[in-house]
Amino acid sequence: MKTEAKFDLSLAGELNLDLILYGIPTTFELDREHLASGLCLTLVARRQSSLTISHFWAIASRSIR
Amino acid sequence: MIGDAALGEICLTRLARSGADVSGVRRLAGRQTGLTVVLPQPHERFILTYLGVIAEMRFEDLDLTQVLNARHFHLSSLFLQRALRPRVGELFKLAKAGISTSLDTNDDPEDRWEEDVLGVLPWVDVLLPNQYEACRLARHDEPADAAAILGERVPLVIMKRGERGVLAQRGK
Repeated sequence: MKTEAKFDLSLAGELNLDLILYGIPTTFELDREHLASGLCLTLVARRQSSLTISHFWAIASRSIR
Repeated sequence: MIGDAALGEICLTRLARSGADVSGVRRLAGRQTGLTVVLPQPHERFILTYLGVIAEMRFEDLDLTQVLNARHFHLSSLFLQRALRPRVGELFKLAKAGISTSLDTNDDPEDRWEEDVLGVLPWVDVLLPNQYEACRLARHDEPADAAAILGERVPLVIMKRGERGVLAQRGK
């Protein structure tokens, strides 16, 4: 008899945070201080990452491992 | 897998808060969790990644009973998972025997796009590259042709093209 799967989605992959720095220059000079105008520490900056998929799928009320 | 410092705990806390089951995540003592720094530019963005334990997870580290106890299996960032990569085909083959599968290779930081990745595709139901990745995988510069080439190997190819939407290729 086939048993029901515990999870809708299973992921094997990377688990890392994304640090986004906004408002930085388009070029950098060595040994100079460059300022960002904003900062965000998030799970979901890279839209294709395992964390992003887990996060949004879970929010959509699916069960994930 | 995560390291045992604060970054990993932040990942787990936020992911658990969204409702995902994180009981299968392993903590490695004395190691660092990966971190990506994203630097947005007017049209594109720089992406700088410190791999940390991302590169260390091996096939042997996976609890296959748990991993395959799902209706669908997905793997992303294949090229960053250096320790898993040699056996990722085996992992997909096991998954495909009972459930549907999808793969997002993401970028290859070394830009080699070696042949072993193509060897995984027979056990992939849905392939999710962006346009650049699809062209590199197919070894063809024209996106539509690249999708067609990959479509000969995978039942469904979804090519992500940013603000231009997606290009889907079902079979040949």
